[in-house]
Amino acid sequence: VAGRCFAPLITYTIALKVNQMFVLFATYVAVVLGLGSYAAWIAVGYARLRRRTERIAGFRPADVASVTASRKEVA
Amino acid sequence: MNNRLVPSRQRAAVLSGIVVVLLASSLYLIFFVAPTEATMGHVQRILYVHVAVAWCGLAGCVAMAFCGAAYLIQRRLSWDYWSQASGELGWLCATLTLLTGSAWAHEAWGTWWTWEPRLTSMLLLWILYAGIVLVRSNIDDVRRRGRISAALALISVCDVPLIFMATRWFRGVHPVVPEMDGTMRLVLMTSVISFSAVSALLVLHRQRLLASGDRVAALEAAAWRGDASLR
Repeated sequence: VAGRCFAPLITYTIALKVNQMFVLFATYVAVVLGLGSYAAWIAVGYARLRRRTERIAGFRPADVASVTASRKEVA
Repeated sequence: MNNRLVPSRQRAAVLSGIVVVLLASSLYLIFFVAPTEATMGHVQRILYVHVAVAWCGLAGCVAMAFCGAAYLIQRRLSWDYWSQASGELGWLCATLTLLTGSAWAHEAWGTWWTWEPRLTSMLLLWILYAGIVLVRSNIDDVRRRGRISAALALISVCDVPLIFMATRWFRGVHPVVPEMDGTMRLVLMTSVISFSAVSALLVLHRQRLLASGDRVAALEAAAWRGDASLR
């Protein structure tokens, strides 16, 4: 009788606990992912900016002249 | 011209390292030191992150409005960059507040959502944040974008006292101040401080990225023109 009464109760309690732990886990994962993806987006922005500054630093008068010439050609 | 426009990797790594350590210790305190609440059990630990991100969401709105007002007075673009960075972070934190609050409500009240004053006013703030971010992305003229965004930020900040006082002014199910013992309060404070540090670091980097992006664009334009100062 005790087994019949308590077994479903124990099963239910375990299921509830697993469910609760899942909700808790999912909540923290959501927060870490949210803030982490924003941080990653900023890091990608910095990487792009670095590439752009390197490209500008790599410009020479000859490059500028050739770009201007090709622009005129296209026009 | 060099990579001085972008903060040095070493400095950024040191600051990020400090914040990561702070966050990790906060998570350790939440999961291993904070006592398990008698009624709700382990799921009550959502509260530590929920309050922290809610605080960051509200602080982001106040910062956005303050910087917007400063931009309207001084017309310096750096204020607008601060305002934009605070707004983006605030929007993210408001989203996380609604998500974590919804998970907590499901376990505490048995529903994912209810039109309760605190929840509704927070949803209103989220919509206002979303509006500002969308408006920003659709205006090309930087000066006009700054003016309109600042005006919208000043309207949005009116919702902050409403959110804060919603549990006191109106009848609802959201707790005014959750009952906690000393250890729980300490863990909550640590969590709020560490999440505030993460948010501040992200806002700082985003502001620098925005400012540097504009300066690099100006340099690129000068390079295309064949400006003598670049040679």
